[in-house]
Amino acid sequence: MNTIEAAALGKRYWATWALRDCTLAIPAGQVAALVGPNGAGKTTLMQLAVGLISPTAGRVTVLGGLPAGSAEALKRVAFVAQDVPLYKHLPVEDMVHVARNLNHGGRWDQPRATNRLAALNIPLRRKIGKLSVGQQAQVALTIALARRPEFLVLDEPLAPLDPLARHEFLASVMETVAEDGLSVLFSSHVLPELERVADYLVVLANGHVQIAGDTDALLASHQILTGPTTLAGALRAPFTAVHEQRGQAQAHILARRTGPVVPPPDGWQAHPVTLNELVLGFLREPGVSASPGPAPLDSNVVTGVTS
Amino acid sequence: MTMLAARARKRGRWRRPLPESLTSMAWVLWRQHRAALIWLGALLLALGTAMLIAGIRLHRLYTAEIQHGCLGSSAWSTVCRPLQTPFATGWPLSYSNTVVLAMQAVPVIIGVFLGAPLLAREYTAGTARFTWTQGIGRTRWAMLTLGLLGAAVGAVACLLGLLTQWSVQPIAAQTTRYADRWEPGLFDNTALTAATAALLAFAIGVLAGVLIRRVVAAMAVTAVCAITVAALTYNRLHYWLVGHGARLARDLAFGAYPNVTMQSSGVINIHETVGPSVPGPAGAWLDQGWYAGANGHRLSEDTANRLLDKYMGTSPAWLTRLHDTFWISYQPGGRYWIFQSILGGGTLLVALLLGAATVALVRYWRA
Repeated sequence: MNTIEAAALGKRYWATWALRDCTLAIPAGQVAALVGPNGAGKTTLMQLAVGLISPTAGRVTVLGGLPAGSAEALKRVAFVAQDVPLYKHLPVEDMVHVARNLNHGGRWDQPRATNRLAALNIPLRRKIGKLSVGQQAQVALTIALARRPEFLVLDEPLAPLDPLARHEFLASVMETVAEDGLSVLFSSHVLPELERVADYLVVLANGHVQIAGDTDALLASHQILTGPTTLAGALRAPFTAVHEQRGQAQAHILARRTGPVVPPPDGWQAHPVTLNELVLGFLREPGVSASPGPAPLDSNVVTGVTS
Repeated sequence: MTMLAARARKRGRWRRPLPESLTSMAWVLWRQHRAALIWLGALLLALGTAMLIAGIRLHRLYTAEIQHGCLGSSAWSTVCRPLQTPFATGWPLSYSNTVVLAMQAVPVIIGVFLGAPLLAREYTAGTARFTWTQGIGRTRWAMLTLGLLGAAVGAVACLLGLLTQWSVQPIAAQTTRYADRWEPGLFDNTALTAATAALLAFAIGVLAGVLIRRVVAAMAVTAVCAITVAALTYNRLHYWLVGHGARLARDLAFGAYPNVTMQSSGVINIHETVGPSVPGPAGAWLDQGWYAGANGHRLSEDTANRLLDKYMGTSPAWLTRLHDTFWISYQPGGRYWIFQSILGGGTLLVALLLGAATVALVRYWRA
């Protein structure tokens, strides 16, 4: 089963496509990270997945074929939107009560909500607006988790948080993933955190899916090749350059390898790539894609060269 | 089934609790909008209390008048004078106008302070993205929100309408001049029409909130729209509606002493209910009147006024002498509730359509 399946999905606002030809299938049970520059279409994809907006083209389903935003999907999918929109004038306990009533007849787990808030030392009588940003994010996450969702969608949950709050937030998510086996899709700009938690990676650029796949498989199929700048243009199959960084003497190339592990070409040294390097390499080359999308990975289209 | 069993069953039905989904949503609405609901409730409670106190005083005076045989101008005595004076020169004279003015403000206040911010605030605060992704779903949420608050608004306005009608009864019983049930002030503020007018203003407010998505702007637009709708209803729609299907009658007594201004077309808008000082078919509402010559055609304003200047006061029968006729169009008193149903039903229908449009926008428009 896939947690989310998108087929030729597109969303247009007036004349501008926020997301276009997005074809994607994220397997269940994964913590999937959605990465991309501002305006890449991350929030649009997430809002389509939770039914907040309707697609202009194509279709999107969740949890094995449920139409996004359908009554059944809403019962099983939880969403924490960007900037954590909660009722700021309500005390925490009333906010939780509101959420419980808005999920009446669902799988609301009040003990989980109560215990989490107690464990986090969040004062129940304090108004949401008076809490720190980190505490507000934790309240939003608590409400989402108390719904006992099968699929949790988090839109930029880490952006406003300090490093400690970020760590605690992700620890909470991962704890619940381990307990419930739920699937998670979260968007983030905080790349170092991704490496720790992401099983699956989706990179969006200019409204298109640039790369999508299992994180370990992606890391295994990409390498950093270091060699003389004079040889940089002579890279041959099974290696394909994603992004090149040329100095006067040496060049560093993020290269994708197809097929089994082979030694690097003569004169080159191969180093394993980190998730951070992989993502940055693709973000610097928005025209390159390695998964369904408009621009297939091809040496001919790799044009981005930096010195 | 025995009568006792039937009663027990009926009692059981009353005791059956409301569906939990309704009470859950009612709690959410109460908690979210508690401040607005409290001050709005207090304001309307104050209005209702004022009407209740005024109504009790008026009914006591009226009952005392009946007990002492003081009804009618011929019963002027030292006992009756203090009972009749308030109705002749005191605060009851302006009471119905004051209460009607206050009741005209009720729908506007409800639309502006409850309807307009209701959904606009969800957009401005971004909380729509929270609420609409909960298990309840946005369509159900919108329907329950509008349904529950609409029911509360309708019930409160209905009560205020009942209080209005009850409190002016003693005035209306003595003179229709200051409390005419067919005039828009009272006609549009019965239990039915007050409730539907409040619902319409509420529906205008929530729709404006969804379309504009800014609280203050939505409130301003709602105020303009609700006041315009009320003004058009009071000044135009009401008279247009109750003029439909009017019966015609020759009226000698009224035509001999017309006490209202004639329009350039020669038509007089009478707009009064037949009573002790207004002749005509019993209980009827007189809509318009006009003079017709011997040939049956309506006389122009100039001609009619010349005749009035020349003959008025000479004899009540001057019309007959000249073979002229004064015609009136009127609605029989029995049609009152038909027109009430038409106005109330029409207003409710428009309110429901606006509500349906709001739900559709919530369902299909992006948050």
